[in-house]
Amino acid sequence: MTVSTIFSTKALALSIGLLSSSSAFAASCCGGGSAGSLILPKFGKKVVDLSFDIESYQGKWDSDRNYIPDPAADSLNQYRLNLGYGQRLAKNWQASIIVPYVWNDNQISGDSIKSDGFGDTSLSFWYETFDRVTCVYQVNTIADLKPSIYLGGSLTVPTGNSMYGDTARVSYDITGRGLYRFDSNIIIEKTIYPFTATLQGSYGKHFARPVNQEYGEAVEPYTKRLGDRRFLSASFGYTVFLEDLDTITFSTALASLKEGKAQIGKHKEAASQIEKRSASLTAAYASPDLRYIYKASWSHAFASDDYGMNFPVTDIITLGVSYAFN
Amino acid sequence: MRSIKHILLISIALLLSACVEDLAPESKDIRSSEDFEVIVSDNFNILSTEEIAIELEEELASYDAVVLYFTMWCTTCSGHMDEINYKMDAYPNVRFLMVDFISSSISQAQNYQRDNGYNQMTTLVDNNDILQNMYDGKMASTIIINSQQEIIFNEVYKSRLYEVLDNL
Repeated sequence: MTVSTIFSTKALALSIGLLSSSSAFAASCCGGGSAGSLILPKFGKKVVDLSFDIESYQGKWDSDRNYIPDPAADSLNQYRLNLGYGQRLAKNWQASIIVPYVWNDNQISGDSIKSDGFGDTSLSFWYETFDRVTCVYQVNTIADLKPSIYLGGSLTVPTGNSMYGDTARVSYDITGRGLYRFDSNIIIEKTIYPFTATLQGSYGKHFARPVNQEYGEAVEPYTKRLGDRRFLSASFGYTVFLEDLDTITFSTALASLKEGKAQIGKHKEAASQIEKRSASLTAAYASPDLRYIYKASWSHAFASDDYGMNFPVTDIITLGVSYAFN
Repeated sequence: MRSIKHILLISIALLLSACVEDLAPESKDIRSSEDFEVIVSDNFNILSTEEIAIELEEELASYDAVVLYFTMWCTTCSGHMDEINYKMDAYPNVRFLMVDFISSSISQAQNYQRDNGYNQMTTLVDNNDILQNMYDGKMASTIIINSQQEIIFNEVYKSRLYEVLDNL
């Protein structure tokens, strides 16, 4: 038989992954942010970031939050190359763009299915509420406890192939969700060497869009809006100083993501509500001048009941490098 | 570094120009006159996971309509199937049939159905792509065939399905 489709939930996982993947070295001292929130270090004027995600599917949570493993013979994988560029706009303002390219590589029911294409692009701006780096080696005054607080906004631009666009004809062509979304973001972080604690939150609203085709087939036009999205992450890190003042930071994070029901026309679509909880481990090496950062992270979704809903259970390994320059 | 900026800008421009419909979606009805023509479905006779032959004409002799839902047992499909399972009792005059169009054998479809917890839903095994080709079935495609054997709905699953069923 010919299998002509593959999970479009991969597109869902992709766009969610862009914000919820592990907070890889989100430190005001050396910059970073998560895969979806590229952040310049305080001294930096520009940064280029390149990362590669390897996401493997282990099963799913159903709408009753039960974990259902994938059949042993099936193998579902997605690879993403994320190219990012950040630019300081003013003393406390910066902006960034992240463009992913996506490869799907699947074995399902004995068939091999591969596809690729651009994913959804993320445009972000950030305001730093602090004028100087707040990382300290010891606390001598109350002022030393002041955290770094970043306030930002991210616009997800549907540059991927969605089921509503011109290019996707079957679900394995899908690499994006097809809707714009604006997220309001906050990152609160404090480093008292060697420890770093970070809280990250965002609230996203999708913009409604008209739909007049599905997989290239004309349908009765309707309006669709995906549900509001809430993301929370808490991480804790430990920095090891090496001989030449270069550092390795190890961090662990817990993250929770929820997206409400989508709306099609006047109907709320009950089956579209999603949730995911995950944990991650990250190691990041920073050069003594903080210009180069090499990172590796592992984001793990719990393959157990009650850790998610209507969402694939995946592990994501991310390898990346960034270079900050003036 | 100027070259990096240029590469990025060119990449973005190419990227944006490739996906116009998603970037600037239109509400215009693009259906052609052909899309409004009444299409009568061919008959089919397909084995279910219980290895029972299900024939369209026979089903329509007993029900006001048949709903086909194309599943590949994915996360999205599970959400839809849970909702169908919840709502189908409200439509005793409608026959709801799931269509497994990814399994290559009945036993494989049986495993998917059992492992995903949908043994209670009648599931057709389309391992020869008969239904997929007849209805251009894709993941979550939902087809309503009325008692005149006309295809009156063929879209990705959405709640509008039940409006159509209410108006049968």
